[in-house]
Amino acid sequence: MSRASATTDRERALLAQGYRRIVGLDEVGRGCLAGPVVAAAVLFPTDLLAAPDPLPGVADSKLLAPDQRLALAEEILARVVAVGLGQATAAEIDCWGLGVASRWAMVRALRALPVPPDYLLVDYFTLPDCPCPQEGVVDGDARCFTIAAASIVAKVVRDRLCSLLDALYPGYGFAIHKGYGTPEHRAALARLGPSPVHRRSFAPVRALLAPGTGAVRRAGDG
Amino acid sequence: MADRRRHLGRQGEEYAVDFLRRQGYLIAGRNVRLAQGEIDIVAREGEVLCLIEVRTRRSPRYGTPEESLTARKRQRLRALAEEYLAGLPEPPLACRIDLVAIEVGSDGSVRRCTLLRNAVEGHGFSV
Repeated sequence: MSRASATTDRERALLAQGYRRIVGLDEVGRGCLAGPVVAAAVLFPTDLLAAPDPLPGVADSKLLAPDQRLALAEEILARVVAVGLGQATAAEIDCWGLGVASRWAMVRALRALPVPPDYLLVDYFTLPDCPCPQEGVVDGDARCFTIAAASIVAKVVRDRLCSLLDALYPGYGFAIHKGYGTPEHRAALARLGPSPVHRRSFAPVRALLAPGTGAVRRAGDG
Repeated sequence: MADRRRHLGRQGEEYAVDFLRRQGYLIAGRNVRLAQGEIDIVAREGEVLCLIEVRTRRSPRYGTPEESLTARKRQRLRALAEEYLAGLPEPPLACRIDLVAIEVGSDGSVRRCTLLRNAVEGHGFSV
């Protein structure tokens, strides 16, 4: 089954305007009950972005099969100029809220890039105090090539991280469900109680905590 | 001996985390490693980011946990706070350094646990 790839339409328009360091930024893992949110920032060479569909198959990471995603991530990493990775931990999510933590993961990914972007393409969001022009692209992880590439890299990295969490906190099945709230994960959570990497502010985890020791949801949280 | 001390420290931190949670703190990080050292606990109380030092002592014979926070250690904590804040993606509205002082009896049970808010002043960010 062939699926519509993300295109470089936006990137090529920016190249025509003279931008050279166009960075795609996306974050994954917002909906998980455990583990961090992980963000990736990717910078491709301009000649690659000048092609309409430079790496066929690059599309929304959520719609790709794991082995497809892995193969694409390898291709992406072989072709990029630079990659920056950032995360915000489960405890940071509990403390500052999911919206703030996701933003932090993205800012950290940008800071980890060895070169500053001159234009930033972000999936849906825009970042506060961004030093360069930026754009929150609606549906960017499906439609915009650099954002889709960032989402694939972030997803593969986060899945790997969750496999490591599985070794640190065995029994929950992190290597299988990657922290998402599958029935197996919920059953293990009820049986074992929350691990240190569970998001205590998320309802299914909070329900298992002793009263007064969970995170309380505050007004203004993302 | 060093191992025993480290074990006592870990125990104290474990206790402090539960204690702070019951006080309404939200824990953002534990044993946060920085270039200049380690912050025991990072948390949020209300809108304030709190960097928390946990001092655990077996008996007050050689001084209380509070007294073990010498001028040099306060200076180190201020420097750690600066480094942590500089590394954050966004600055918090306010920040302070708190102390949790724990005294453990010879049987290992906690005899006293005291929370001192803003225990180290003058790092420039306290409210």
